[in-house]
Amino acid sequence: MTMHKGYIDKHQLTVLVTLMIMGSYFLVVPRTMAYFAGSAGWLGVVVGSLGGVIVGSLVVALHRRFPSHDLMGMSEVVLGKWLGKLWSLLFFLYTLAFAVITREFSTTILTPFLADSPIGPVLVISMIIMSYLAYSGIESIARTAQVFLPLIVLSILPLLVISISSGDIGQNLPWLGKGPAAIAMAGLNAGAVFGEVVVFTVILSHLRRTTDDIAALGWGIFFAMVPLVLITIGGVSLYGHEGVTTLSFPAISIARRIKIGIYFERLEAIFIILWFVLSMLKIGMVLVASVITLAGIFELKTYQPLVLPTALLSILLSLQFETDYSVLEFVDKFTTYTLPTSILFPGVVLLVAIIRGKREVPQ
Amino acid sequence: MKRLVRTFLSVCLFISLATLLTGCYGRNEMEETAFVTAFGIDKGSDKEFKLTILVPAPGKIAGSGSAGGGGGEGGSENPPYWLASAEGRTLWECFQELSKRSSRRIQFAHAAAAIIHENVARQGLEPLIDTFHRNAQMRPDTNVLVTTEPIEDILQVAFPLESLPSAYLARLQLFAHKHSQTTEYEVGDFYASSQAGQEAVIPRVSICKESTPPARSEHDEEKEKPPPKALLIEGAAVFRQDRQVGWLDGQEIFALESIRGRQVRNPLSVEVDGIAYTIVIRENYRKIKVIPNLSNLGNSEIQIKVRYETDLGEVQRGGLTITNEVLNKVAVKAEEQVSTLMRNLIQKAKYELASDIFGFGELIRRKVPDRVWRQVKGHWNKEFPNLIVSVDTEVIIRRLGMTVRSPYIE
Repeated sequence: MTMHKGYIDKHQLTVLVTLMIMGSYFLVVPRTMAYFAGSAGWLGVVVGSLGGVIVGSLVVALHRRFPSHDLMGMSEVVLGKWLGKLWSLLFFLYTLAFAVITREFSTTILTPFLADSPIGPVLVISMIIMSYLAYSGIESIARTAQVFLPLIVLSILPLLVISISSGDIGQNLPWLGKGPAAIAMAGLNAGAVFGEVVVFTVILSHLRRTTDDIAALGWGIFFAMVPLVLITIGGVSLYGHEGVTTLSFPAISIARRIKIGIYFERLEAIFIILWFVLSMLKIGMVLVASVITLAGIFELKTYQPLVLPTALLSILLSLQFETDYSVLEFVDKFTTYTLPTSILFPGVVLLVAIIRGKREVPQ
Repeated sequence: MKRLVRTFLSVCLFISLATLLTGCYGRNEMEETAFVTAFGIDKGSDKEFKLTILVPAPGKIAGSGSAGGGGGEGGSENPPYWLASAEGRTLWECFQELSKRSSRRIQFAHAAAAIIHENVARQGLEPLIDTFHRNAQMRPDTNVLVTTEPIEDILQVAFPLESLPSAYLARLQLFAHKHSQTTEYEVGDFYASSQAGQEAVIPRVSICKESTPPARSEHDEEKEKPPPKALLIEGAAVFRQDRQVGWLDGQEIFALESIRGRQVRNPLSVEVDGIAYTIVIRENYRKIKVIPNLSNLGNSEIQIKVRYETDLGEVQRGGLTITNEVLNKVAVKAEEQVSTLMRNLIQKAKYELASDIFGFGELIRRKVPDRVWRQVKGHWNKEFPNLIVSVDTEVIIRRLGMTVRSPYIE
């Protein structure tokens, strides 16, 4: 595979992982976690991050076996040509399911802020941005993220801490919520999002040769976990664990109630700007992974020609949801079954590689 | 070629962002928007709801000072606001009715207060709560108030120090915690109140009757009475689920807030040996303990201990040296007073109102979720009166003020 377009270093990898996990999930995490685990929602996030660690270590193990291949290349070597292509096609379909994020993204802009606007322009704009990001390649995304993400995290953390103090932190009691089984269920759902690091099977082959890529991945998961935990606690503090499950856009509703003294109020604009940047970069990254895989399947020399059609396809897919409720329904189903899927994609390839003793021949 | 494509694409991107993201599609000009600063909901005379809105006229507020008084009738100058009401089956119908009359687009996002009339509150807030939360214009930090007076009257009160009735209302709310005779309630608090085990207590606003100055000359009385000059935020409406079931007065709110563990700043007047003392609460702490009764879940016990750190504010006897003995006597008396207040309130909440305004259910949910709360959750309102609540108060008078013994005139 000679599709490399730029390299990323391990700090950029960390940033990308954080971005990948936090990107879209930041907006809805308090709702889903409180729905499954009650007042112990934040524990669900912590448990879920274990899912990210599992998927992450599988991804890294695969990467160490095949340092210069992405998922397509590996599965072709390991599973044989046609089975490998099929496996990659499945992975491509999995990345297409992220079209739902585009839809969530536009709904989040439309409902609270542009109540009178149709969905079209927002989708077209996001398509333009994500295509541009994907054209520019993973290195550009990584560099942009490296500039923005620390700023975002630094400005969001104080807000989240204040959101906890604006509410009643006691709402998070009892700290085991609906019980260990419920927390495990919440963890499974959060794990689905943390499991999105599976996309890095495509991206890791762009990594500069370093030894501690697993550490970079782990830090990325950790940095994503902290704001997610905080916003879950903040949401439950402000709205109660039952109230937070009824919010369409928990992060925005939380931002609306944050008060610093009596002077700083109505901070949701900050939230939406930060989230816009995060979300766009994330969608761009998923699109890159998706088109690289597709290009691999069709054995194209470069993935650029596929960017626009794939972006268009995902936009059209995102329009398949009739109502906001169908989006919610899909996301719920999607997150319940995604963790096993994200374990399977690298897991099966790794298992077969170990059984068949396949390994990249060092040049 | 590639360079060209990239340049072309980025130019396209910038142009489309610049034109589309500015929100020009659904544009809302400031000058074409009517910002509602306070609104009220009452029962309509022949329809379900009556929505009253107060919209300030931006040009007229500046410099209008106290001239902007009154309801508009009779005054030579128009008030610097537009007050209107409309009736409808739903709030949206009322809103539509108002929109027909307004030359500007009506916006609720800056409403400082939402006043709900008792008539609606007694019937249940359920139909309103949804609109408050579904509509993106409504803010979760809008203050909610309940009243028994006509809402138009409240929104017309011209307080001399404020230019607008709504600004007056908002500032009244802001300083409510200085006197601890009322509580705070925001739209977003409906979420917490919707959980079992914690009922809503919404502050009450009323028109202050006594501050109306007497008419200057006799023949003025024949004319219309001058509009009232002041409002009063005191006490609160108590809800059971979404229905109002009663009222609490200022002193009861003081007891309630102490039991809830919120900060109160209340002067306490105590009479010992014929001398009136006033002590002022500076800080208060609450310790609360749940002792679950597993054989009879509803009969669980809750022990509350409230400690007040107070300062001596006033002694109505000159020449009296304040010693620890005196302070002790005052403190003991004050403890008795506050405890009685609390016990009475608890009795009232249990038997008269049957509403868990203290959030004891919520406390049980936090402390003993599995053994008790899960069993009583469904019928908590029935179980709540069986709860055994014991109150203990401790008053500590720390600071004496600027004098140990005030001058005495013989």
